[in-house]
Parts: sequence; structure tokens; C-alpha cells
Amino acid sequence: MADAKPAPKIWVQSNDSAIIELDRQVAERSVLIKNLIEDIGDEGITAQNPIPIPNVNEAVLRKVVEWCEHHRNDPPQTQDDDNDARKKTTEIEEWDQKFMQVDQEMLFEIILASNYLDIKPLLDVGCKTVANMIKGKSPEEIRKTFNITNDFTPEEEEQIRRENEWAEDR
Amino acid sequence: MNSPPMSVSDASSASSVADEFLQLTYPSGEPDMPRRKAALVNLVDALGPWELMYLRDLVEARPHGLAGLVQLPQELVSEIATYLGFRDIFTCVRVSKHWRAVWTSDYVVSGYVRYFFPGLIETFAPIQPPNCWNLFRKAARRYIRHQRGKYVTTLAQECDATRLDSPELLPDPISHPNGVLRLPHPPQHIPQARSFVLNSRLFPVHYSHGKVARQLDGCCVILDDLVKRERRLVSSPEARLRGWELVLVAITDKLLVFGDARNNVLVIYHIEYREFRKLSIPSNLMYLYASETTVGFTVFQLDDDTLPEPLPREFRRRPYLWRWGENLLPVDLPRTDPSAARLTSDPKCAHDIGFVFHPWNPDVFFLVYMCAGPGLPEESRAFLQISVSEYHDRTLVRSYHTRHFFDGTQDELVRLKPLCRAMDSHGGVALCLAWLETTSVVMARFNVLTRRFAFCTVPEHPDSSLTGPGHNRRRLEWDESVFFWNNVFYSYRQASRADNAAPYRAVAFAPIGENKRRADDGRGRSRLEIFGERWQRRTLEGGGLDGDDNLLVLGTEIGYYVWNFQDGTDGSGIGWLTPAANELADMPVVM
Repeated sequence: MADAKPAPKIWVQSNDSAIIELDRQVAERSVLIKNLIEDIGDEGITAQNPIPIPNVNEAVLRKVVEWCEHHRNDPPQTQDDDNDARKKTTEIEEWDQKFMQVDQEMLFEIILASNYLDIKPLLDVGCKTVANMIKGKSPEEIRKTFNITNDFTPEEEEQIRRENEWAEDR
Repeated sequence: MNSPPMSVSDASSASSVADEFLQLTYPSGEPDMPRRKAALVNLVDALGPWELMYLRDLVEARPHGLAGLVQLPQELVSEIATYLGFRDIFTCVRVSKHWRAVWTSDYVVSGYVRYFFPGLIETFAPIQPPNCWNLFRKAARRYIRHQRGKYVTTLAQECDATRLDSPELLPDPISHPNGVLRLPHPPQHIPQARSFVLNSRLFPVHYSHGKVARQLDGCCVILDDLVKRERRLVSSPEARLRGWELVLVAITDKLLVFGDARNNVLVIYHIEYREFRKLSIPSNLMYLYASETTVGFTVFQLDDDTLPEPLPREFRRRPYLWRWGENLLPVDLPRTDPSAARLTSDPKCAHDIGFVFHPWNPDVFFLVYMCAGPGLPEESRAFLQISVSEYHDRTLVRSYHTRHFFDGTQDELVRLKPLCRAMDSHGGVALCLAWLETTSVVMARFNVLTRRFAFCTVPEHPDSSLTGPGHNRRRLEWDESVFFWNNVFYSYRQASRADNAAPYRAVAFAPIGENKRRADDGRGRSRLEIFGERWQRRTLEGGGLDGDDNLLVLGTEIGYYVWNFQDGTDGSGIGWLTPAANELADMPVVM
């Protein structure tokens, strides 16, 4: 019955003026957009009058929309989920892993966008991806991964290493 | 070649560069990102090496951001840290000055400390604003040291026979060298703890704040102060006179609590004042919890009239609270959640009440109501429901509720084991264990400082050969002695090996909380310690684990064992108490 009706649409506009059309259900993965729709009502949003997303450019926004499309039917996250202080794993499901195979700039942009748009599950995937880039590596390997120059003098480095020596695995 | 760069030192030209940059916008006024990016690339191309370094330092000196690529806000750095191990965080600090500044800044650290050690900041905040990084370093160090307690030992099968009888593995602190307090092994005349549910084990260890108490007979207890190196004989003259059969039920920093099951009497000894108080309790004692000079306990409730309405007839227990210098008073039960009313009348549900105390405020205590059942019709999943009610000076202030659902069929029986004891030094409390026959063991936790609940998984026992016949290693034995501290799970078992060889004892260590993680570190090293069984008993009743940041104590019928995790020890892991066994035995007796 309800299926016969076309899914209600929403339009968003990136900061480089691209207008993207998406299903309302998909857009509501973003808590920010969901609240916005609730505030102004979906009649107020048209292709001519889209929701502006001033912090996100088109490429990133399309990427985020792609994620929301794939996860449109996920059950909403309950507030209790972050109750479990020690449950966090860095396991990422396969589709998300593939999705996150982007250059670092895009990865950070996706994290920032999901933070801004308040899409907690996507933010989690992003943070997990960064965490996996750090996990189990040596400082030198991290520097290589993130293209960072070591600006410690050898003495400083030795001192910091000694300070935290006890944390080294044995 | 040392001349300063013109473009940076010349203020007017610098501002005009910035002005030009800011004018790169769309007609609407929004920043034109593609053109801005191109302008930045052009600018960087135009800079000399000296200027590039200066620019890099300027960018990196900003106190936020993660990598050089895009600046992540600080709260996201904290978020990322929660997915890392402590070792990774210490590695990040070594990457660069900028990373060091980010990862050790109060804002970022407090974010992940709240995740890793809930309540830790709150523990220090009332005294002074904490240096979060130092706080984290200390707590992480404690945690790692405790966790390392596991890395030493051999598998049960590899245990070599000479170690079983090695005298240094069998410290016997009770046999005093001058013979004054020489004891039979096991001590002969400890009264059976008839209706003391909590105290059904024969030789539990009683440990608090560096003090260990061991019962000699129906009115005598030896109190060892491992910090002051002092041994005291505590004996109640009145109990001896009246022929009470006292059982040591609890120890706190200040008190020893004894109970006599036949006469419904509690005898409380103040360690500092060396003074006894007698307390008649209205009915049979069920569970008793104590902290500092406060004692909370539940008794079987016989007259149903005074029970609040939602409580069913099966649920006949009533909490009481007593403080040194105050009268014994019943605790007003909070009205349970109306939806819980049906649960409490369901005979298939298991219920319990426990007490939890605030770590430093003696006026504050919490009443914990636990209920586990095989599933509501609409949920059809077995559940564990917990309500924690906060009392200030005996007045109910507010209640907190949580519910956990098990994956499993609704017909299975949920087993519930109340714990209600501290599990770290910053407000963390282990509330209870619950499990189905087919699922892993879940522990409910609460932090009395942050007032937040958490559920986590208790690791499986590492060695299936440790379990007796018919025992499933996934489950806890009901009388298995378990102890949690600093997110490490300790379990003590005394059992037969699968090949029916002599019974032996073992302590297992494992980090808790990660899903489906076995108590095995994946490096081929197990976490079992095997003791001799010179005075072995055929029962599983015997022994108990307790401890804190500094010590872990295991009591058995032949004495007690102590692990030392104190600052100053190298943290290299397990060791029998650094004061050697004979040193412990030589502790002077203070009468």
C-alpha cells in the first residue's frame, strides 16, 4: 500500500553548490538532517530550496550519501550501546572496509562530515579505520603512514621512550 | 642565506595575501574550495625551504588536529583513542612534538580516560584539577602490571612434579616459628556457616586495605597487617563465654564482622579501637556487605505485611544498615519499576539485593536490586535487570535502571550470582554475574562516581581439563572463586584433571570485557598457576580471591598466597609475596 507511493525525496546542497537528491529515509541517517526536517517540515525542502551543508564538498557528500544508501535499513543505534565500557572492537564489516579504502584526505573529510552531520555509525567506522592505521605500529611506522616528520632530537626521543618503557610489550 | 623571508616578516604583504585568499568565494559568499586549494598549492610552491619549515611549525603548533593532512577536532582524537590499546597511545606520544601535544592534552586525555577508567577523574577532581596525562599513565601502568600477573606460568600438563611440593610455593603464615600459634591444617573447629549464603565456602580469604584475616576457631581470628607487618589475635571473650559459634563474614579497613547463625547475632570488632559490639539481627542473615565502619546486610523476611506491594511472597529479604555508633535500621526499599512488578512475581525469576558503598563518602550508599529471568512474552529473550538506588544519609535520592538481554532461547534458566564489590580504586563496582547454560558469562558493572552501567563478558576458563566431570568450561562453577580488579579477571579453582590424577589448584588471569575472548593470550602461554595439594580436600569449597591495586590474596585451607603489584616492584608479573614466606611467618604477634 505504502510501497506504491514513491519514497519522499530530500535535496541537499554541498558547499561547492552541487545539489544531491536522496530518499528521505536515507537522509535521516544523519541526525542533523533528521532534526532539520522535523523542524521545517519536508514541504519546505525542494530541489530549488535544498538543505545547505556548508562544511562538506560534493565529492565527500556523495561518498557519505553512498554510505547512507547502503545502510538505509540498519536498525537505529540505541543509546545503551555506548554503555558497554569495554565492548569496543576495531572490527569493521566488509562493505565498510571497502568503502573506507580512500586516500587519507578523503578519510579525514568523511570523518569530519559524519561528525558534522551527526551520523554516529559512520563516524565510528571512520575512527576505527584511523585506529587500525595506528594499532600495533612503531612510532616510525606511524610517521610513514601519516607522512609526519620526526621533530624530536635523539635525546628527547630517548627520554620519552624511557618514560614509557614499562608499557612496552615483553 | 640567513636573511629572513620577506613574505612572512612583512606584515602588510602577509595580510594582503590573506585578504586575497579570503576573497576566493562563490557569489553567494561561501568559500570557493577548489580555487582556495589551488591558491594554497601555488603559495606552497612559491615558498623556499626555510619558509616551508616555518609554515609547518606554524601549522603544527596549533593545539588541535591529528595528522598534517586535515585537522581533526580534539574530541575525535579521543574517540579514536578509545579504539586503541594503551601501548598504542604511548606510541602515538612518541611520533612528533605535535602529536605529543595532542595526545597528552588534558582535553583529549580526559576524553579517553573517561572511557578506559570511568570514575578516575571524578576521584581526583574534588581534591584538585587533575593532570590527566599523569593520571592516565599511572592507571595504565597499574592495569598493565595486573595484567602481567598472567604471563608467567606453565600449562597444567607441563607442571613439573618438583614444583608441586616446593616449600617456597607453600608459605604457611599461620605457623609461627616460636610455636605459639601453630595450627592444625586445616584448622579443626570452624563452625559451618549454616545459613550464611555468602559465606558458604569453608576457608574464604578476608582481605581489605593490606589486612588479611583468617579464622582459627569459633571465636578467634588472626589479623595480619601486611603493610605494618603486624599480626594480631582477635578473640571475643563474650563469644567464648556464651559459646557462640562465630564465623568471620567480612573485613573492612576498620572492622571485622562476625556472625552467629544459630542465635542471629552479629559481633563487630573495631580494628583501631580494639572494641567489640554485639548486634542482634531480626532474622537469618543472607548477604552481608561492609565498607569502612558501615555494614549493610539482608535477612530473610518472614512477615509479609511490611513488604512493598511489588515484592512477591517468594522474595522475602529485607535490607538493613548499621554504622559504628548508630542503631540498626531497616533500609526503605525503593518502589520498583511498575513493569518490574510482574517480574518479581514470576517464580522463574531469580532476585537479589546487595549493597554498594561510596569510596569516600560514608553517608552515601547504594542498594542494588538484581533480577534475572527467562524472558518476557513480548521480548522472548532471557534478561537481567538491575536497579541501583542511591541513598544519602539513609534517604532515597534517586534510582538508576538498566537491562541486559541474552542471546538464547527464553526457556533457559538464567543464573545470577551477586557480587556487589569494588573492582577498581575509582568507583567501579562489579554488581553481579549472570549466564545461561549456553551463553558466556556476563558481568554487570556500575560506577558509583559516574553513575553509569556497563556490561562485559567474563572470559572462558582457559583450561577445560580443570573442570570436573559434567562441567562446562564456558560456565562458571557456582562456587568457583572469582575476583575482578582493574579489568582483569581472576578465578581460582580446585579440581581434578581430566585423567583423574590428583586434584590440584589453579588461578587463571585474563583481561575481561572483550567479546568471546578466551583466557588465553594467544602466545601459547596460559595463565594457570599450579599449587601443591598437601592438604587437599575433595571439595571445591576452599579458597577465595580478594585484593586491590597493590596486592592480590588467595586464601586456602593451608594459608594464603599473596601477589604483589605495588609500586617499586618491577611489574615483572607474578611472584609470591615479596616478603618471603618465612618473613611473613615471622610477623610479631600483638595481643
